[in-house]
Amino acid sequence: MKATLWLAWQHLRFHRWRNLLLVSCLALVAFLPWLGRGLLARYQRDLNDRASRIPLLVGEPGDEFGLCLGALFFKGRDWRPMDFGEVAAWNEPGRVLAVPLVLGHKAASLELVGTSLEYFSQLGLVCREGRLPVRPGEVVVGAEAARRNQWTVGSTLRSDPPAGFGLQGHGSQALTVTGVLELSHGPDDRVLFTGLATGWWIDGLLHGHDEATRLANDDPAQVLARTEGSLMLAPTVVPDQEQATPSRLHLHASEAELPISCLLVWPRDEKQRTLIEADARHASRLAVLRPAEVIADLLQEALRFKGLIDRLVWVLGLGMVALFVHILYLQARLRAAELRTLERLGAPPGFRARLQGFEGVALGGLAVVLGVVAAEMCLRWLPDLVHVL
Amino acid sequence: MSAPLCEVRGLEHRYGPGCQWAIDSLRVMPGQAIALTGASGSGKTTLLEWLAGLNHPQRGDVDFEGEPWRALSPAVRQRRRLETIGLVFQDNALLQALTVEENILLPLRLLDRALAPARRELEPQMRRAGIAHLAGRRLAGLSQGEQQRAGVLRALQHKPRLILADEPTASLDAESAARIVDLLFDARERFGAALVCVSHDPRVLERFDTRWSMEDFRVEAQP
Repeated sequence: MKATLWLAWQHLRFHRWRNLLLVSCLALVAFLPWLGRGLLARYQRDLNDRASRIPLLVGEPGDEFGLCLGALFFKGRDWRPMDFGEVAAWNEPGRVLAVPLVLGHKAASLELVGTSLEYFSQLGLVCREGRLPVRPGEVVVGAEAARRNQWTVGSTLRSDPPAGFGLQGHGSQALTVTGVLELSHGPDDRVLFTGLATGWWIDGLLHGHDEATRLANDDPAQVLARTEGSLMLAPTVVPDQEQATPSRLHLHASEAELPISCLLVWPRDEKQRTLIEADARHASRLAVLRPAEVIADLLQEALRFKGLIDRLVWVLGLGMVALFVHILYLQARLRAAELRTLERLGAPPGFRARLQGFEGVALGGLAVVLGVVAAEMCLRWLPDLVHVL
Repeated sequence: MSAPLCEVRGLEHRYGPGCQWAIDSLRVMPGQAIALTGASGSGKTTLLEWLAGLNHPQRGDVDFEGEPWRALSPAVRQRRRLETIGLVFQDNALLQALTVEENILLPLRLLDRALAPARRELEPQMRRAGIAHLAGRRLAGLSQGEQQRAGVLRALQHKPRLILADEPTASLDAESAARIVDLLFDARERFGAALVCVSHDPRVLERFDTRWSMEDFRVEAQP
């Protein structure tokens, strides 16, 4: 047995480059499915974890998957806005907490999420440095977004201009980083948060300017139209950042009509949740979703696809095993003279099978171990790989 | 008179049209040096394989140390050959993954014997064979003669009682051939091994005390 192992080792070592290539190919076949399995498990865990932390989601009826993915994971979609007034309607202190989200804006190509301060406390998000945004134009950035863009407290950036030309909007607004969030290993790491007003401000719904009559008097050339009781000024008259103070921002309409994308709702307990759902079913035209259930349905669909992939991986694996056996067979033919010499010298019966068995097991085993270890290392050291992919 | 080391009794074997071996009796005595000659295809290698227990004739027996090879189980037969017979192949059949020294010590490794003392004993033998400087080298770049000398040393390391050499000097120059025959006869003297050597080389043949000539698949002993 000792001699067999020794000879197998000598042979493997002598043909090390050829064997390395073979092991690498086999390792890749082990690596990819293992990594895929790990990534999918992590993806499922992340989705479930996020969904389980938000008991109810209220939004415009329609695509439930889209609403959930957009609200929980900030996956871009065209939002059908609902009124800010819904927040007051849903909020019942001590019974229900409703947190609005204003989505659809971007800065540095990252989602700019407008929300209230309760969002951070409900999801346990705290600042690693700086503070949360309290004034229009202030943003707090997720840890991963800050790392990638090298943002720190005091950094300035601009919101991305809207895709189309908007008469009403101001286009790109200057933003100041007031804080960086702790890493949470979730979607909050890769976005920017602002107050609700900032989103409306970007949309041009809120604006901060001096009294219009005085501005018109100062520079009459900037008056675009003047009718009885109304004055339209060129946007250039209204400086943005300097004017954007809470005292100056105002709205020429009802606050309750301002648009929000959706509401995250935290009932006090399970009973309240059931009551809210029952009430909403009868009284509200809005969709009230349990994100955990929607995500479970979504994963069910994904698992069906995974089943197909698993079967394909099995077929691929069997093909590789067949190829590997064939390679071992060809190797045996190449060294038939050597193996025959060993038998003629007096190597015991079964020596040839044991020798080649050891070599096959060593190569196959090493490949599997390498593939699995590499996949595990990727999963361990690149926790956000699933988001990158 | 001592018992024969190896004995062929009533051997008959047919192999295709016109190839019919018939050997009534043939004995290899301990310490005897036998040269086996004959034309190509006359069955010399086949006879060596029977003597080594690698194959069996269709009829008759080949005994080794009093026991027919055929009667032994495969495991015992392999073990006995490994322990008691030294084989020198015409093609030297060294393993390319091993160094020259590792190739030479291979039978001891297969026998699971201690290698350190064998290495010490091997060094002067390799010097005498003129391949001491090649101990750590692999086969690539070695000449035919160097490989053949390594093959001969491999057959001698476990101190066999019977050495069977199949044309060990074929296609070698005179000096290399002489060295190889020296190695074989040196082993014969050191541990009293019997030697059966297939050769056509007259310089080799003259050193053997007995000659077997194979003609028409029959062996004729020539003193």
